[in-house]
Amino acid sequence: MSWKIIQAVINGILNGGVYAIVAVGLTIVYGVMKMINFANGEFLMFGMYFTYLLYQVTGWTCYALIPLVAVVMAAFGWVVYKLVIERIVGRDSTTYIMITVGLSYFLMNLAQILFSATPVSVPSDIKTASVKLGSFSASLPRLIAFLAACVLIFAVWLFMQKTYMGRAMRATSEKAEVAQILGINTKVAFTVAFVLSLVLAGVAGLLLTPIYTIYPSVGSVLKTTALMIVVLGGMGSIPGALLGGIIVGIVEALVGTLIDANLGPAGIFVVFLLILYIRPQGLFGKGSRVA
Amino acid sequence: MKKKNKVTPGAVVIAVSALLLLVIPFLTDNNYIITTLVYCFVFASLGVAWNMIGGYGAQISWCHAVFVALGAYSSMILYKKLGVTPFLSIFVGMALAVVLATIIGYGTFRLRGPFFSLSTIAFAEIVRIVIQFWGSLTGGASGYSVPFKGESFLNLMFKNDTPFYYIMFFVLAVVIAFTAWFEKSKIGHYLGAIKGDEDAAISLGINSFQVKLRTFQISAAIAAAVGTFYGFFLTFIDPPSVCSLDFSVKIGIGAIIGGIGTLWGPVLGAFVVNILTQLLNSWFSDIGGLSQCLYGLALVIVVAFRPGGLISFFPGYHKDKKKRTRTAKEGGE
Repeated sequence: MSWKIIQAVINGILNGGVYAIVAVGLTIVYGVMKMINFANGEFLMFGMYFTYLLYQVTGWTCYALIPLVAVVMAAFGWVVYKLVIERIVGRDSTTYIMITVGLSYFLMNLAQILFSATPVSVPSDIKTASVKLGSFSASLPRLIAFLAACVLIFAVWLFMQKTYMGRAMRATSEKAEVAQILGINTKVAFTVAFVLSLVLAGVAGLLLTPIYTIYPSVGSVLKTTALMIVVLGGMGSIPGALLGGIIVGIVEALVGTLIDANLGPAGIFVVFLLILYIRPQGLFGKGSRVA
Repeated sequence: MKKKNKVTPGAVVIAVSALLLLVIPFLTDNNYIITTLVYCFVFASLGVAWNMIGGYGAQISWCHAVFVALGAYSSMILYKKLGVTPFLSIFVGMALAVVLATIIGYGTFRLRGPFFSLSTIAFAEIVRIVIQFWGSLTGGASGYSVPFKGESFLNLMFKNDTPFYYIMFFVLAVVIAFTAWFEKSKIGHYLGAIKGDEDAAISLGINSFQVKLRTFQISAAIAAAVGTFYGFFLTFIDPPSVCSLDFSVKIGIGAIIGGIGTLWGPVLGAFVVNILTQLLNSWFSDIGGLSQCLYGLALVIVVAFRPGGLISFFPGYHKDKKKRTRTAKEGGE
């Protein structure tokens, strides 16, 4: 029994790492733009498809494709930002919710038209490989994804703390109007935040290709999970997203192991609702958002 | 149903289309047209209910499918297991929906920002997973159906869809009439004030939390009531067909494309979206996902370029439009 629990915790932590990358992208966009991006799961799904297409062209292992996928996602993000998001910047949160839900619908079904609903997968040598830790085991692709997630999140955190752009973005997230008065180009900050979140979603998608098959609605489940993590960790907080991701991963794995595999996701949502009742600002949230 | 005081062009259009809809079953034997229109009535009723909290309250809900599912499942289960007529069990579904709406609203209407929308999604997922998991009661993933035991109005069992056509038409008319009343009621005006400027409304002594919660409960109860009829119309339901995020989003999209925050916008939107979906699916049946792709795109375009929705193209709309743009400007966070 205790073996099962520890094994579940290990699996949960590893899954949580990938959730955390998606959540970090979401949390930065929320912090800077006050926009919850309901289409993030679909961008992740497109990241998976881009990985698949680039693999078909180059034949490289998926991890070597990270820079390429990042560039493609950045271009994709910039186009989406210019075409759609820029037009609604500054409107109320209802508009953001409606437009990103519309985008998510559009993208999911666009993928179905372009790639058909038949699942595809990127071949990989390490798909079924696992690492032994005493009597416990960790699947190798999940371990790599977790480590890559930690490195990426640390890089993003450094970027936000140490660079001029990162500081500008943090200032914008404190109060956009004041940041503007202080000479920060908030429009650039918005664009960078949005593009960065798409790159993170795309790379998260890439890291998942050895684990999941790719199909148009693959992002939906991850999307809702990532949204829950953002609230759990405190909206706008990067450490919160990492910790939230790991907590959610562990909860899902424990509920899945101890009660029923199908109830894993329900466990996440119950934790989320408890957080909303008890601590709506999240674990790392600043101040109170109570009306 | 037509609660306009003056005879405006809009009222004439509505009266003529209502009359036309009433005689359509006499003009055609084509069951496909009748069925499509029943879907339009269902989605229009749900869109109007959704619009109460989503449009008048500016709180976007993505869990209205759950209320439909509660209504459909509770009535169908009570009918199959105990033989209770849906006209009684409809209240069970409505009560369940109110309870659920209270749980969601109680935690989130105290907060501003996207918390409400997020928790509606979380709740929808929980309920869907529970319905799927609790197979002994709900049939789980394989769905639930009610047996046909001969035509009976009390049991909502008919050999063809024409009686349902009139029932759903009547339901839609009742929902619209109720919403027209709601719009002009005290709580409707409170809601408008909160949407315009929440802090100002609170400072005038409006209990914003309670008003939103009440509205969400009403909206949920209506959706559950429609769900009872919808379930008996379908006679077979499963989690993907009545309890999915897709279904919730489709309800919302119809209302937004038609014209969020107006009485007739969601009705117009539901008809346009459903009829176009049917046409596209029959013309391009080999391209899966085309109609959903297009209504996702339509939603993006409407929100970005024409926040008033399709109804704002009608000439008699000016007054409402002014009201909307004003609230949109001031309602920003």
